[in-house]
This record gives sequence, structure tokens and C-alpha cells, in this order.
Amino acid sequence: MKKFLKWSIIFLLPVLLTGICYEILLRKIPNDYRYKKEYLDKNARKIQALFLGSSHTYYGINPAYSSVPGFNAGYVFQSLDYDLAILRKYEQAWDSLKYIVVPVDYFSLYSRLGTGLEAWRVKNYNLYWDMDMSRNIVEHSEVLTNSLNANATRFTGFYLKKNSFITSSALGWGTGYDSTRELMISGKSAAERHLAKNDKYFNENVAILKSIIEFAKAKNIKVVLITSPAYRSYVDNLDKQQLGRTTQTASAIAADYNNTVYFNHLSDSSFAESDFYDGDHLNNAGAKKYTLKLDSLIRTAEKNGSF
Amino acid sequence: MLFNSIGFAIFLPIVFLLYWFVTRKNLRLQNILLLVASYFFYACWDWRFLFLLIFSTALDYYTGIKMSEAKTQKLKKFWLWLSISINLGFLGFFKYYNFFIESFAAALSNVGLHTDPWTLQVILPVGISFYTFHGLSYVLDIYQNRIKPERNIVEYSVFVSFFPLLVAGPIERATHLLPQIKKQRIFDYSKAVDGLRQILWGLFKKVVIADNCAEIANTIFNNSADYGGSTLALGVIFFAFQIYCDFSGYSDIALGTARLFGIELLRNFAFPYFSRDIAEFWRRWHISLSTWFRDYLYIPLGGSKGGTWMRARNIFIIFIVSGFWHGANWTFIIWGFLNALYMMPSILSKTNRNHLDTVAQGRMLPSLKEVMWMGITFGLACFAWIFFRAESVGHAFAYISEMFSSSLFTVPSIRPKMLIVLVILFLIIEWLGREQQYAIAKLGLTWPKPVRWAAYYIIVLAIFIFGGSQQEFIYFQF
Repeated sequence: MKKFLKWSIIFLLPVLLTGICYEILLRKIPNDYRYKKEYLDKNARKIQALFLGSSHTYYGINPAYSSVPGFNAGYVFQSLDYDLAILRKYEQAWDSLKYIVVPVDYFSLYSRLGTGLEAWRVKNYNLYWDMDMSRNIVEHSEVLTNSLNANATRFTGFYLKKNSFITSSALGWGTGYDSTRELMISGKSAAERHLAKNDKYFNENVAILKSIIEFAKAKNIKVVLITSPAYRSYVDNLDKQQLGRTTQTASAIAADYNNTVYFNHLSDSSFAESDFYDGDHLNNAGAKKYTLKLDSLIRTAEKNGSF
Repeated sequence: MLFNSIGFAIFLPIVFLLYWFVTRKNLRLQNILLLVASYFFYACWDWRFLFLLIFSTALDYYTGIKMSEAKTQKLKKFWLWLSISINLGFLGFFKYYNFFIESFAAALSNVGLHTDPWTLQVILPVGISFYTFHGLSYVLDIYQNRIKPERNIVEYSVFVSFFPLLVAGPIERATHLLPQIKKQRIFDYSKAVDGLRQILWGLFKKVVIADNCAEIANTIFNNSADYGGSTLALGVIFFAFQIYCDFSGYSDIALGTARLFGIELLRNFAFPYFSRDIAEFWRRWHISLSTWFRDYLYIPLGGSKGGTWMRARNIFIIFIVSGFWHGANWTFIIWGFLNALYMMPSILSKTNRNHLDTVAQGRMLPSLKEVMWMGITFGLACFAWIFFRAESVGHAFAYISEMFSSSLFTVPSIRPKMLIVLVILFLIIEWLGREQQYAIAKLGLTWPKPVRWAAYYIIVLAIFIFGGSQQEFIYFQF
């Protein structure tokens, strides 16, 4: 028995030690999550406009064109529960915050980051945002969530090729979408991907959205709910029932709270083909246009006393 | 808790150390530990169904004793049927309720009577098909006086719920497993090392081959209308490797884990894709289920005693029941029917026991004839897998229709080169180890330790490098 344990430990030790070293080195690679957290640690008190949500906001809203100091805290697949967690994390720091932009897109009320195909991203919130979003030990580790191949690409990219893995601008906006890619197939496949399998999370997500609004209300912050612009290949392939329920819920919530407005820009005709990166994401030009438009709409809503 | 999860990597060493260090000298304590660990393992999926498992265990334990105490054959039969009907009742409710209700409504609809079937959102308890068959084999063995009833409830409960086999088999027999549970286990270094080696190979099969094949097979099957014949054919081949490596990988981990605790489980797979006919394939595929059906259904139906036609009828019955055991869908029933059909030529010509040995035994390479028959058998198995994997019978027929169109002779639109290389490498290792219990059972046993360890490290590295996205074991749904 002792012989078995001795040889098992000797066999496993190199694997474990390599894994631990690898984990430490991978965590040291700068990334967007850590950047956003560190930015908010330093600047949360100065921010007047906070943009939350998934890739639609991350790539679609550039705070550089906001008329007030803003920051884009959204990220790919970031669901409403993570938006709320970010707000709560800096609860004592939102001294200047005037408004929060929260997307209510086609899939927002039906999905969760932690349960979808992108659940591997949960570890980024645990490790780099210093949150505790999951009790699963795997989701607290770089080595255990990604395949060795994916980690090796990052590892060699940073340590050997000196590549940067920060893709956000200084104000948290996603800078990678600078052109127009194929729009028709990407729109159709995104619509299929975003189709809800069930409405298991719908009520919980609505409750989380209301919690965000109530959190904001308690601090006298306005909430702007948006449905982001998308290309017709995406819009035309959406399930009418899922979309209808989403937009009706967003409208109803906006009507219920006097600190909230809702703008549905899904089929906004002012966005042309050249404003999109793919079927459901704006590109850099589109992001500029949308941020300016949103900023103007918010100003107008404030003047009109809409919230 | 999946075998290929961090949870299990923590759970297993803890139970192992407690088993051999804390409870080693006391068999009763060792069995209690195994039972608690097994119930914990099961509760990690859904603790509510633990009560069903405990009830099923208690039922068979009690009816087993009652059968042995019965003064008359009639009373003995009563207890047997009580156990069978309750066990199958639970299985039927959880697994087949919606299937029967929907099929009944469809049949009524065909004669013009429209009903609104009262279907239920029934969650299938993990492993119910496996532990129900465990229990059934136990009461049937008692009824047929093959074994005496077990009076120690802890030992009997460990037999039903021993965690390595609890959720996906192998389907054990009381005659094989219970004596091991009742006997003091002594730690055997070489068996424990062998267990670890089998776990390693099982993980490789599951994580590297099955999970990667699953990604391709799922893409092709889920969007079959978008692909041509050659891609669809590739999809079936990848599914064939997915299901084999998924299930036999699970069985390898189960057998290896049990061996760490000094317990030998029944072998479940014996390199089925190297079979020269379908009869041989079924002697090598899911062996514990095939032998279960042979002993508790085929033989009671008359087996081979009543002549060729009776044998043919019995073959159809067991394969169709076996298909139905896999799930409440007509696709599984057709899959079973097809396999029975494949068996017919060898049954009618009485050649079904022609290949009892291993192909090319004692030789490095097979003959051309053997290659041809292995290819034909694999092709037939793949054709039947289409029904097994398809969402519906309509989907299966549409898949087959497109697969056998002229586009079969075009270049596939999906060409996962690395995966094809991995599958070929895997087949070579399996071929080289086909005369062993599992492919790497004797790998490098005569090599110097550093070389042998290097081979193991390469397998570990392959698991981390090529590990596909984690997919649940296919047989958990059964």
C-alpha cells in the first residue's frame, strides 16, 4: 500500500507542479476582465454613465462619444446577473453615476452565462473581477476551464511573442470590430444560436432586471434599457414570440419605474450595412453612431422628464 | 458527479484512503463506507432520487428473503411478481410513460379519434435502467434457486449501489459481485496499478476520442439537411466512435475504479469493432446487458432449444426489448430490430458461433478476408447507429436517403484532420492490445520504468491537449 501511494505521488507530482506553475503564469497575463476591474477600482467615483451587458453593448457602445464620463463594463455573454454583481461590487463608489445602460436583447431574459456554452467565462469573473459567482472549483481556475491548446496559445502569445490580450479601449469598449464581415449567414446563425430552448430563467432574469432598477433608484440613478440594433438577417430570423415577450416585458418594466426608459433599436433603419460587423454586432463606425444617438436620446429624455 | 470531473478526482482519493487506511481491518465498516460514498456519489446528481434507489434496494432485499421463506411455489411466485411489477412499474413510469401516452394518442388519431394526451414532465432518474436490472437479476436468481437471499442489508445495498457501476453499469450479477462484497478485501499492488492504468485509458477514450467525435457527430446530425452524403457518412462513423469510446471509456473507468477497491466487475466491452460478424459484435458490445438478456429473457423464452425458427423469434424479441431498454423512442426499437435482422443469416445457417476467438489471434495483421468481414460488420453497425442517434424515425430516413445519394461520392465538407489522425492512432493501439482486457493492459510492462512512465505521461498530455468540450456520458440517459 505504501509503495502504491509513494509511486502514485511520484507519478502525479510533476503533473500537479506543472499545473500549478501554469495556472500562476496564466493568471498573470493581462486581460480585459482584470483591466475593467482595475479601471473601476480607480475611477468608479468619477463615472457618470455605465454601460453593461453582453457583446452587443461591449462592441456597440463607445464611451468616448458619450457627453459625460462613461465606462463600458459589458463583455461577451455577460448576463444580467453579472451586470447586477458589478453594480453591487462598487455599491459605495457610484457617487457621480447618473445613468446605467442595460441591454434587453432577444436572448437577455432567457439566458445565463453560467449555464450556456460560454460558461467557461465564469472563471474570469471569479479570478479577475474578484467575485464569487460559482461554487464549482473548476470555475476558479484557468487550467481547468480551458483546453491545454487554448491556454498554450495565450501562454506562448504573451510570454514568447509578447502579444497583448487586452482588446478593450481605455474606456472598456471592444475595439476588435473595425470592418464589415459577412452579414447574411452570421445573422441567421446568431438568431438560431440565441433562440431559447425554454423559459426556465425568464422570471429570474426579470427579477434581476428589476433588482438593477431598484438598486439604481435607491441611489437616484437613471436606467436606460435598450434593445441593440441588428442587421435584417438577424432580425428576420428571430422567433416572434420570444422577441415579443422580451420587448413587451422591457416596455412594461420601463412603465412601472419612473427612473427607467426603454429604447428599442433592433430594427432602427438609420443603421446601414456598413455600420455592422456581422449580423448582430455593430462595428466601430456603427458603435460611434449608436453611442451618439443614445446620448442624444438620453439628453432628450432627461429634458422631457421621461425619467 | 462525472468520472471525468474535478469533483470525482477529489472524491475518489478520499474514499480510497479512508477505505484502505481507516476501515481496512473491519469488513463491515468498509462496506458501510462504500455505501455512504455510493449514496453521496448518486446524490450529487439529484438527491431526491436517492429515495427511489433506497426503496428499490429495500424492495428487492425484502422480497428476496420472502421468496426464500415461502412455503409454497405459488407464494414464491407472488413475491417474485411483486418485485418485478414494482421495479418495472417505476422504470415504466419514469422512462416510458410519455412514450406510451403519445403513441396511444397517435394511434387513436389515425382512426379519427383526437385526444389531448396527458403527458408529464418526468425527469429520468440517472441509472434507473441499470440498478433496476441489478435488482431484477437478484430476485430472479433467488427464484431459480441459483443463490440464497442476502440477509445483510448493508452488503446487499453495496451490491446494488456500488458507485463505480451505479449509473451506467456494468450490470452486475449477485453471483459475481456479492461474494466479493462479503469477503475481506486485501490490497494488491499490481491490481491497483492495473486499475489506475485502465482508468487512464478510459479517460483517454472518453475525453480525447468520444468528446471530440461528439462535436463533429452532433454538428452533422443536428444539421443533417445542410450536408451531402459523404459528410453524413462521416457523421455516422464519428458517432460510431463516439458511442464506443464514450461507453467503453466509462466502463474502463468503472472497472479500474472498482479494482482500486479490490473488487472485479464484469467486463463490458471486448473490442467490438474488430468483430467479423454481428453475432461476434454482440458478444463484444455491452456484454453485461447482452448476457443479462440472454440469461433472463432468451433462455426462459426457450433459447436455442426449440429449433431454428423459435431461436429466430427469440432473437427478435431480445433485440427489440434491448432497443426499448435504451429509450422510449421508435428509433431505438428499429435499431434493435435491425440488429436482429442482421443476426438472421448466421442464426439460420447456424454459423453464429463461428468466431469465438479474437481476430488474427497470435498474428500481427489480419488476413484480407478478415479485413473485409470486419469492414462489413462495422458498416452494418454504423447503418443501425443512424437510427440510434437520429431524433426521430423520419430524421433517420431523411439522413439515409441523403447519405446514399450521388453526393456520397463527393469530398466531405467537414474534414477534421487531427481527429481522424487521433482515431487512427487509437485504432492501432486497440488492435495491438485486442487480446488483453483493455488496450493498454500490457503496455510496456516489460519496458524500463522511465520509458513506461513516458508512455503514460504522453496519454496524460494527450488528454489535456486534445480534450474536447466536456460532454455527458451517453449512457447516463438510459
